[in-house]
Amino acid sequence: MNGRAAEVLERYGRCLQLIPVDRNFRDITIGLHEKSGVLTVWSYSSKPGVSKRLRQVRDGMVILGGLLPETSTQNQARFACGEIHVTALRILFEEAVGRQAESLSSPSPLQVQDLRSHLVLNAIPRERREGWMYQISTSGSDDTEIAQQRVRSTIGGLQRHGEMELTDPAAVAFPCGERHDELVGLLLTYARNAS
Amino acid sequence: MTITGKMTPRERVLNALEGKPVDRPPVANPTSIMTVELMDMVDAPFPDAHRDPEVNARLAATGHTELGFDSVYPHLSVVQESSALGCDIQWEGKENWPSVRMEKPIWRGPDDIKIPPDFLDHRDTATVIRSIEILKHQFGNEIAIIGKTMGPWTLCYHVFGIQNFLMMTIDAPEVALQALHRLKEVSVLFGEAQIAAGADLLTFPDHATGDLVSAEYYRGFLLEIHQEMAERLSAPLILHICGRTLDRMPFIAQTGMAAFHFDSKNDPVEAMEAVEGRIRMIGNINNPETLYARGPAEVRGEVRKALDAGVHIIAPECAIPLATKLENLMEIPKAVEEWAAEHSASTDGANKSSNGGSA
Repeated sequence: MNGRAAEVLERYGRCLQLIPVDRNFRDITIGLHEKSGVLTVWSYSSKPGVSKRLRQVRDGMVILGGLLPETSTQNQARFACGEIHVTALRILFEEAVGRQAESLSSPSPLQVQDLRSHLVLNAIPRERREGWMYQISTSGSDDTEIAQQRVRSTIGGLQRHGEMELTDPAAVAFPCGERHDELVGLLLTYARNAS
Repeated sequence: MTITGKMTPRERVLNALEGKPVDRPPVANPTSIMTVELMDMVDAPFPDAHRDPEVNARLAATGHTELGFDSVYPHLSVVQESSALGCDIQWEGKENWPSVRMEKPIWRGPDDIKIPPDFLDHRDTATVIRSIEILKHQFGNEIAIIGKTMGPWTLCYHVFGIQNFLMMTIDAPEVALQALHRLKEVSVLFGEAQIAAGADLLTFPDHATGDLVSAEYYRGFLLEIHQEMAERLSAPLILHICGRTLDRMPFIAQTGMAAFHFDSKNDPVEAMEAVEGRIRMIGNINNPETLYARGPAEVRGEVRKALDAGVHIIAPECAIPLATKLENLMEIPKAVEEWAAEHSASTDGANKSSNGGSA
């Protein structure tokens, strides 16, 4: 086969995620491809303005997820660690496509309001011999039992949404052992739903 | 007879349907394989692609030009006939198929059934007929063009409503049978128009699925009608029924239709045993779990499983989810070619099993 789809897959690699309809730009379909650690935001649409939109999504992923842009391109980026954190990446991509442009300007902090209690959830990066981990803690209440329960649930959410590994009862880390503060900030907003 | 040269995709499909030798098992689509990415690629989004023949043909062609299937198929939904009969259609947008609003039935019984004199000129039937002409002009005799004409059972769902029709089959089976016989004329009319336009074969969906009715229902209400359809329509027919159908496959094998397109809810080995070689089998790659949610490796595994079971033509089990990744669809012909090459090498050109391989 030498169709256009075959060329795209050859050039940009496997498709990790597909957004069927981009509500923020003329209902085009946008895909996220990966080859040799390089992530490519791609659309087959030839509607005017598509290139600019792909750059906007790529830049959104850089801001929200801390990816490094491939500076010679408009639509490519990579993780600084060289790994591909697929599950987290899918969330990041959906956020970058789904958010309005004005909410793509800054990353999520490492501190969010819990949705299941009045507590605030914190992810504090700490360096250890094996690499970086994130200590999960709460603030805003003296109720130790609820706090511990929310820490456990949030850790479960980070394991599920980010494929992070448990390093001690209140801490998780990415398998690469690197810091991904922006990504953890984003994942916290998903993990806080866990109960 | 050994097939040494490479066949055209059309020859491959038609030979397989007739049980003749093929150079490799064909990959065809008796149901839609169109996706949102293909719509973008050729600027042919839903719902325009359902209602404009040029746009429809442009999209349908990608089944061969981009995905590498041996066939093209311009039916991108199930609504054409019912729309032309007067049913209310919900057209939807790019990411959804249109559907018949079956909660608003247009008729109550067989006496109400009237086929409009301009049935074939209705925008939704005419789009497909014209699209087939365009595809025939584009592909000539190279690629198999698959048309589709709905069977009367499915049309009864659309015009009476599913629940009303199923109740009719219980309360007044002779009335239900009358309705089926009247609506089968729609199947013939639309089918023949597509054959005249250039369709090489027709999918014949008639959803008497095991998820809704028994095998005995199939035998009592449909077997004779399907036999009649196989006689009257002048091209090979592929019967398509979704869901569990293993219990009625022995009846389906008696229809005289060229092939049966079956669902992944039926194990391919058991399906092949059930039909005992009396009808060719097409399928049955799973859509929601494999083609939509998994990757090429899993697709390859399912293709090989179907081929090993002796399935004659490989295809997705039904219309694929519109957000299916192209790499998964493109893996189907790749996997078939790989399997065929291995079997050709291992048998040194001898019998390639019951898939209709060279013998």
